[in-house]
Amino acid sequence: MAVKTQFLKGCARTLVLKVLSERPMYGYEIARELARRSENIFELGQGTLYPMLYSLEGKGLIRVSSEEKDPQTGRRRMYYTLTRKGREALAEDLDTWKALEHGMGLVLGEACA
Amino acid sequence: MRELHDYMDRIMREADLAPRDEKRVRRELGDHLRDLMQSRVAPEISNEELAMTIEREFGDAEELGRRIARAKGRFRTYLKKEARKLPVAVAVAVVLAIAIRLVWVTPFRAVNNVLAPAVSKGDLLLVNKLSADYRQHDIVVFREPDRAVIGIVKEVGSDEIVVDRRAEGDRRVPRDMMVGRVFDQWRRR
Repeated sequence: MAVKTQFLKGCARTLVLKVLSERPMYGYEIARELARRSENIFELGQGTLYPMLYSLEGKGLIRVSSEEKDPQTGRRRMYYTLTRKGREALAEDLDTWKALEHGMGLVLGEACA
Repeated sequence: MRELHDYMDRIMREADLAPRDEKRVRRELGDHLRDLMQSRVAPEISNEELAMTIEREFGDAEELGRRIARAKGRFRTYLKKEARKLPVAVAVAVVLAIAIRLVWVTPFRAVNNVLAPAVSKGDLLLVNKLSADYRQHDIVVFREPDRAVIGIVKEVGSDEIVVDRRAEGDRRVPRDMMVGRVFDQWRRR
């Protein structure tokens, strides 16, 4: 379980950057989007999303682009968006992922003629 | 939602953030939790179950607090907290400086060489205004109608001080015209 958690955490950064590259989102939206699109594999403790957001923000990969009030609930949403540095980091992560996927496939994949 | 409040307090106690960060994180996490509870929890749930659901869905409060503290940077948080105290410290320092200057110490700059070599043109003299205990050879500053004047004490009387002005001769200065005694002097290089 611990190994799985660590592994997912490593991937989570790339996924967060990926969903934010599509449009600005607020925390709950990111968590929901990740859970939905990964068929709930990435539905970890949702709170763990925030340390990651703050750390990415501290590193300048994302920033708060706007703060809006939800007219229905009155809750204020802080929308995060990618910075230029964030887009570069995402591109790098995707390259690494592709190389990893390829390598894993070569080792684990069944041989066929 | 008392449980939600308690849970947030536990996170914040552990995270120990600067006030502005704390306000933002508290609001952001709180709103997320409310959204989450609204979508997951039946209205008739017991308080105990609610507390357990929060912890299960969102994570252990203390662990989360520690991770937020790390993400925000403990040293950065320390600096932010200290920076809040800075304006107060500066204000206190300015008020203190003004008070000291008004009642205790006043700086003067010598504009000529009348008292050379004891005092040369450009020297900075710090005058203690509170000391009325003049002695022979003290360098002092006193007031004339249109200027402040330096001199060297020659004789000390009960009502007036005889002050040597070298080539200009002696002055008899009433005590109430004395500004004070020079206690420090920075020579101009």
